[in-house]
Amino acid sequence: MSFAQTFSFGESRDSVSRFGTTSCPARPHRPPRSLGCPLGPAGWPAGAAARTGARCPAGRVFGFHFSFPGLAHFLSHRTAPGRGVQGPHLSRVPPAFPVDPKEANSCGSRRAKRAQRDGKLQKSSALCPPPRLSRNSRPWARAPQLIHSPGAGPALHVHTRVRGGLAPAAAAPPKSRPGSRSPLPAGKPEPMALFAVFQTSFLLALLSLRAYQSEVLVEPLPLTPESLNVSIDSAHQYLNLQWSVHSLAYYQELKMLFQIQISRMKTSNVIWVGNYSTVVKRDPVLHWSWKSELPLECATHFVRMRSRVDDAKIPEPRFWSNWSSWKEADAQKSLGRDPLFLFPKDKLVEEGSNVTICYMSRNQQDNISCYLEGQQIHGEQLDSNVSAFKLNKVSFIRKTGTNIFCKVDQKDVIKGIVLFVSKVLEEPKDFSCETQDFKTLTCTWDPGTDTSLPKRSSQSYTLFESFSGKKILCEHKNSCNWQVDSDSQEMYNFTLVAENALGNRSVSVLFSLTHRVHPKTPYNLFLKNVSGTKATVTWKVHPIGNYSTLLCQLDLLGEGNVIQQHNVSIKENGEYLLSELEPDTEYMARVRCADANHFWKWSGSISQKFITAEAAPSEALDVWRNVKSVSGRPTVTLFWKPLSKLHANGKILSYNVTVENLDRLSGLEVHSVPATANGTELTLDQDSYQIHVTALNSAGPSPASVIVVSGDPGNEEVEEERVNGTEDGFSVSWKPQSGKAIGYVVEWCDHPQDLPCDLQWKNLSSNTTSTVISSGAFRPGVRYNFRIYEISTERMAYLLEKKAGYLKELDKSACCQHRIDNPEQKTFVMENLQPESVYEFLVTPYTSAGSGPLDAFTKVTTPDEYSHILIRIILPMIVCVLLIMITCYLKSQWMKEKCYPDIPDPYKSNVLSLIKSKENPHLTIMNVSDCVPDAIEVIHKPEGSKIQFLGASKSLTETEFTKPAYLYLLPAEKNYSGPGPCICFENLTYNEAAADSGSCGHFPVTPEALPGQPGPLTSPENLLKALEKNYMNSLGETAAGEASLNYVSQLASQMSGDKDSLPANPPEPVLCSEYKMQMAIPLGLASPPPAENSGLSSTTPLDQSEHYR
Amino acid sequence: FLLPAILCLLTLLLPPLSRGAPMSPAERITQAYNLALSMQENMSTLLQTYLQAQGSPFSDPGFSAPELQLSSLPPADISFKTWNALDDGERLSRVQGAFLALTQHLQLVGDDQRDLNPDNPILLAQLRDARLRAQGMLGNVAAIMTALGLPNPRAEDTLGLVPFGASAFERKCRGYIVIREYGHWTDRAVRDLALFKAKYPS
Repeated sequence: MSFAQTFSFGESRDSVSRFGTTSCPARPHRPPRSLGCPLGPAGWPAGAAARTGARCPAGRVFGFHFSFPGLAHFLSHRTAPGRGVQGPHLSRVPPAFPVDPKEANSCGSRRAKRAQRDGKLQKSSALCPPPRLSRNSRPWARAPQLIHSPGAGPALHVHTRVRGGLAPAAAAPPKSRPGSRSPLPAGKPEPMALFAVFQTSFLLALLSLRAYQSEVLVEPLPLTPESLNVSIDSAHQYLNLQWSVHSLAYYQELKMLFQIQISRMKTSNVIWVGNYSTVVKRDPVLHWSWKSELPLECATHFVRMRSRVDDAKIPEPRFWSNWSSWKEADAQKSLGRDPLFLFPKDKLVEEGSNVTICYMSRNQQDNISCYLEGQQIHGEQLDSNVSAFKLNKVSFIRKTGTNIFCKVDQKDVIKGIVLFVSKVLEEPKDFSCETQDFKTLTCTWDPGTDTSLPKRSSQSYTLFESFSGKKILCEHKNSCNWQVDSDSQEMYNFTLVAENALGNRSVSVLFSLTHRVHPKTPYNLFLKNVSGTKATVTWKVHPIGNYSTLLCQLDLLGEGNVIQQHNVSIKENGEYLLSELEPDTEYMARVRCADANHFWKWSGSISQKFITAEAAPSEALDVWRNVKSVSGRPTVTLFWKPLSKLHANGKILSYNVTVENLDRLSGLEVHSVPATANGTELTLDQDSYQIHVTALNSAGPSPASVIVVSGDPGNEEVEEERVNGTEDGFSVSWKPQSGKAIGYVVEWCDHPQDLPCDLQWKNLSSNTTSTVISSGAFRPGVRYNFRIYEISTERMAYLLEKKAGYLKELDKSACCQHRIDNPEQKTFVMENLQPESVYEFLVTPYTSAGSGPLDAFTKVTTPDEYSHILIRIILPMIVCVLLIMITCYLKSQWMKEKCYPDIPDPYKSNVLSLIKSKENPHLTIMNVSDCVPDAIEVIHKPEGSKIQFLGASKSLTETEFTKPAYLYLLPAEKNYSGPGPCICFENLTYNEAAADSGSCGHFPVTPEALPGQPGPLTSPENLLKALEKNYMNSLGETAAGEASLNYVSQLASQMSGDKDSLPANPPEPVLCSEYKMQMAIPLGLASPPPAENSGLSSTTPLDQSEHYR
Repeated sequence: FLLPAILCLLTLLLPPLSRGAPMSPAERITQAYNLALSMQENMSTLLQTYLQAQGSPFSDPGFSAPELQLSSLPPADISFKTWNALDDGERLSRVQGAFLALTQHLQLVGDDQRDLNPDNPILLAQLRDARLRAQGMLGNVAAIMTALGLPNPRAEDTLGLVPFGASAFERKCRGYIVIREYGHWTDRAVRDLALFKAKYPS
């Protein structure tokens, strides 16, 4: 027994209950073929055995009987009724059966069917529960006991199973040792009576022995699975089981059922139970595999099994053997010492399937987190150090696999696996086969998604034909060629199997070869006898078989469209006459063919272009004329419109103009006009002339267009009427006059302002009295003149009416169109425009063919008429004013003298000398001041802060410095050279005068001066006193050599502490305020650093420079 | 662009063909130094290309796993004091040993990636270039040792027993370590050769 059958079952604890033992086998009783004896014709082998006992080795027969009571059972059934053996037949005793026979039969048959369907594995179900066997029960021990007597051929055996303690005390049971060989010869039917006696007595003993048997009989069971060995196939996650069954001494083969239990982690944790049915041969080694969802490396597994004969040769009931001992499968032992393991490695699965992965850590304390493509996954803890993750419906991410990794937190351990997810193998789509020549069948299909992965080949395709039984491996992924051997096979049943590492998909198609003919593309398509309207097409096809006819489709295409379509049945050569063609036209003939009997597919098509021959133009020219008088002679200008391609029927080579004098008999005058011209000019006399105009191509002239002109211009004095343009054009109507008109012509110029004016005309039938004249050349604001002519039966044209109008009148000012002939000119000046008016203009280019598209108008408003006049007035005025101002400035002295002369000086007054000399010699004029104080800067120093008096190199502390509330500066006396420091205070009363007098005195400051002097500080004296102390304090910081400096004091009130809110009025000195003098230093001694300037920005540099004077 | 790169590498690999005056030690050092600099330039590209091709976590931004080590690769990390105290022979032989091991490991990584990423020709080409450069460095260092009259240790199989049964994830990790160490050793080679350049000016 060499095969190893593999089954895969879902792991579930439920399976324990679902997969029980098979309890009710019901097999038809058939003679055991392995007996080795020929069966009797009536199927009574016992009788036959008896009759042919001499030929059958008795020992073997009886030996078998002894070994397998089931056979005895069979014999008893057949013998008792047939041969009239009398006696109790305990097999009929209902209580003896643990299961109702009917139920057993039904279950058995059902199970047998299922066994057929599911393979050899049988499972129990709720309907067919397993028998309740005690652990120590030994089925064989309770097996039917065999009664035999020497010389008595037929043996009656009774199988019974008595529940409870009904059985009487019994003698020692006969040991029917399976496998033991009986020395008894083959029995004969004669001693039946004796046998019956023995039977009865033995039965009694047997019944009494049941209890004893169940407890005491300890016979080794020969069919218990032995040498169970379990190994692990890590690559495929298989538990491979191998065991053997011995002692099949008397059978070549025997069908057996094995029940297998698999536990995880510990033996009591049974995760799977299942049955495996197989035919066991002599000394077999059996194999079976179980696929684990959980990677086997992550948990120890335990396996045990038991067996039961499940062969029809052995009648019921059949009993399970003992369980084998548990066998352990532990893959963990072979792992290394790594702290973390992740399984399974490099697993290949199909997209959408479920995968279980697991990790196993060596250290239970480790905190492990696992990630799938960066996303953390959470699993189920199986053990203290084993966790499993079930990934449902894994998706394909990339061909190179999906990474899953786990890492131990706080430790630098990363372990990972790669899950190779393959795309789902699709069933081949659009599978079909066809032949072109009955020699090769070409099968094609759409393979769908490529399931290949790196180092794993893509799906392969195999083509199998069931009628011939042939099979080929396809070289391509989407097609396969099948050689048709002979004509004998008409029907084909192909099965295409797509297969990859994970499975296969197949698709079938059944067809008749003759219904799958796809002819080859026709060839040798030619056009013959191509005239202006007809052409013959010929082509050839590849013959298909001997009798097949092809249906060919001939298409005639003109300008890409199918114009004609014809179906032609042919064998090999095709021919068709195409008619109703247009002359001088390019066509394309296209042919494709299909099987005429069973249409399957069109062949590829073949096509050929051709051009039909030219024919004479089919229509007369549309001719019009203009008659004018040049130098007294009527000059007729003929115009005609070129023939359309449809009517020209070829290339127009020239035009023929034939002039015939209607008044006088003279020869025809023929003019040939080149094809490029659209008209010609004829100088005639006052006679009437009939003019024929024809167009000529290589095939001949067109029908003539006839026009009659007369030297008499006719009635030109027709009153002009107004016609209004609409969006569609000009709607022109007229009144018929003669009633004999054969038609009308409306004539106009597309460009009435140009020369030539591009004469246009429109032919109208005689019953028409109105028409709409439209032209792309019409422009708004242009006057168009229309002349309506009546064509008489003599082909003469008479002016009927005149019309004039605008397509659209451009207000009243629509007048101006200027033509700029110089293409380089880019500016144009419009003159004589009205002021304060809105103009619209546009510029459009033109060529000899006409003007370009009209864009939108641009609006321009002309300026006011008076604005420039105003400018002419105001500007001179401004200039005048400026001149006056400059003059005044330059002549300021003169102005001063004239406008506001100086006040006379009293000293210089003549009156003074007069008084002095005559009345009072002591009279003097009061001096304004003897001492003019220097400038005083008054600052306010807030309470608790000090403003440092700084030396030459020190700067004020900006943050504490407050802006002076007001400041008066007077220049200090430069040439003063008095001893000691001198301070010059501003005299608020006389400051101006003092400044003018330049007599600022410097008071020596004495240390005795009082600080904080209360009282008004408005006088210089008080100010001085109040400032003295601070000055002296600061003086201590100054060098002695600075004593001759001028000083400037600053004063500020408390109110002005916030420099951002300077009071508008000068501050009033506040009592108890502290004042300090600011020292001014000579320019030569030191210059303040720039920072000082910025810090004192509020005092302005001007102030400082004043200080330093 | 591969062909010029290969030709360029071959010129670096091959000893100078001119039969004229042999290259001076300084010239050899300069040549090796230039090669090391070019290897340094290509280093980050190679590592990025490699990591991107392996998927998460390798391709995650900022991936780094310094704990992953290969016992068959000598570590490039060295204390400055020890490094500074190395004599010429020891210094060069360590670089040579490292690049010998790296050459063999890069071959292994290339083989691995041909299995795992057969459809990534850029990665495979970069790995092959890296191996050729490592071989070039090996030859250059040997030439310097010869020029300086230093004993040239015999090449040996540093790879040892390769676990051919390594799983795909293990091979991805292995490749990462090799490329990372290749970078470290390139950095160290640049410093070593800069030292030699200063010591043996042309």
